[in-house]
Amino acid sequence: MDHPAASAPSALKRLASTPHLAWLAVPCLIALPYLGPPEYAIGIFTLGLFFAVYAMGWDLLFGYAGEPNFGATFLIGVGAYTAAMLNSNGITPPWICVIAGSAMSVIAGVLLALPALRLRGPYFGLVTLVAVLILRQLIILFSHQTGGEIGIAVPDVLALSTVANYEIALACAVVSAVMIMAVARSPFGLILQAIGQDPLNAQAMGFSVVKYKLAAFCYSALFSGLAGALMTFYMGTASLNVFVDASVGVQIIIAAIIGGRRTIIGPAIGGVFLIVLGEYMRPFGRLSELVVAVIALLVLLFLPNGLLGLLKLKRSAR
Amino acid sequence: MLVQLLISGFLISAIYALATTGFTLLYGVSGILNLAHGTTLATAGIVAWYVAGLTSFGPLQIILSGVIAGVVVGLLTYAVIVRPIQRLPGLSDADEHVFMLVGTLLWTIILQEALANVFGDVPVSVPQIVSGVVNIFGVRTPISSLLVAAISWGLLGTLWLYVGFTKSGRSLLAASINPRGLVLCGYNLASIHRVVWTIYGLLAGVAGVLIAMVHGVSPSGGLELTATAFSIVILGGLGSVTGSLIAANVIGYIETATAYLAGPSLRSLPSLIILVAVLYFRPQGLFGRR
Repeated sequence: MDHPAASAPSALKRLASTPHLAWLAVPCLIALPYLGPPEYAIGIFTLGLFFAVYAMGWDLLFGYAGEPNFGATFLIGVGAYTAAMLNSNGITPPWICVIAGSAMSVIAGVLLALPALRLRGPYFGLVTLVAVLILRQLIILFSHQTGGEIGIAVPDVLALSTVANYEIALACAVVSAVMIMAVARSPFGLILQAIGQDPLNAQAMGFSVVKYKLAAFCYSALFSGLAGALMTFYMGTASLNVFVDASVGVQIIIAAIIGGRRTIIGPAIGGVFLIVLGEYMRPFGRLSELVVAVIALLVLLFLPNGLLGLLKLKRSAR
Repeated sequence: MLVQLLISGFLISAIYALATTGFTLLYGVSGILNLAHGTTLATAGIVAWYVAGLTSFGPLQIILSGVIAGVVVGLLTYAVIVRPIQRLPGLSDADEHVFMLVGTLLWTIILQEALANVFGDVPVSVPQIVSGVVNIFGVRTPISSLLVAAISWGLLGTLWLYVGFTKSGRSLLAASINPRGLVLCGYNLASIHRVVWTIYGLLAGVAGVLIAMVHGVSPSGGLELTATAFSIVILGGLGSVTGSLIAANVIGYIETATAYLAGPSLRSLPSLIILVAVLYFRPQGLFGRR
């Protein structure tokens, strides 16, 4: 656990070696709302950025630690509902609720990961999926406190204007991207990759598999919970079908695979892409979900390395 | 009260047993967790409902139409999702597992939305085979439900005879134990997979129609059926048909008891908790192989 802290400067150096073009995207994204797109489009992008954070958190777990987390919405949901319940009970400064939400999400992550990490591969995925279903049932069961299937209203807002909300989401996404990438490219990330690809060998070299995976899980939970809590304040409600839904978890996985596993940035792009695509297809009603699923399936079957994998392939061919 | 509980538990368990056997057989022989299972059941039920409404067919033809739908969906799943993913180059085992799960989940969404677009996303039910009730120890039980249970156990018995006592059935069993040895003996593994998927579709087709008869099915209810099938299969042990038959009865009775004693809305909570407990303490399930 000492590795990442000790080598933070070198991790930063490695971050700096990312193609400069990618970092140019950040000021462009900051300036985007001032270029005069409709407010509605900004709102969609805001949602897309939150989704990007979810997908990046998932990628750290799967792409690096090799654990398929089908219950991303368990972590997101805990963060979102904690923030919403605190705020609706009169805890006023929203940022306190946000911090509490992300902290709670980390705790929930530990509670889920400790038993789940005893299992491997598909079994791990199953437990995480079941965790979502149980959380859903619990929320419905305690509907007096949680609002049940209707959802819970959040009285406060972080910011009133669409642009300010967009910038908050962007800040969350950029900070998450930098932090997750820094960890993924640090020695800690290397060990995670080694564990993901060959746990037996990694263990033989003296790395505690469970400890590293647990740390990765907590790290992923932190950002998922943060984005979940922020998104609750943006949406004004916490509801089951947005935050605690197995199919949303699947969408996150689809976003990560479309973007490209093991790249962190790829899933972020995939997340924004999926939300924008879904919105673009909205006029087609229920058909839109069908089309999005078909597109995702085609990417899965014909571009298994995702959109970013396609770029890399071209570069190495040159 | 107790008798009522025993009888409805028995009826629901029979359907659960039939509905999960295909799922567990598929995992045992070809190692695939088909997350589109519930939606396959729902498709069969909905097609049977549609045929029943459109024509004046008898119960046998209605069940047959559902079975055809089940087989078609099963073979399509194999051809469109499973086979292409298995053929992808450069995937590690972990990657292939996740791809298979995501692929079958996407297939679920595609089927579900296609059904909802064509037939509307409403719960539908297939008319009962026969009307009338009988009195068993003071509990009025629909004859149709008893017939459903009889069909389920009859089909399961047939499957048992097929797997144990026919050449092609035994080759399936061999494929689940040692596929490489089977290939060395001159069997074509691809054709065995096709046989498994056909049997899977057949079982899912009948089960889907029966579920539609007793409970009703809807396009978006498929995932919930998958979740129930999952808890049963995990409890019994992945790939163990005997285990899933016993687990189907355990879960069936527990769900019925919960629904009677604590309220229908909590019906699926105990099975989820059992599922987590089993995964935690005995991940291979009651009868599973490690």
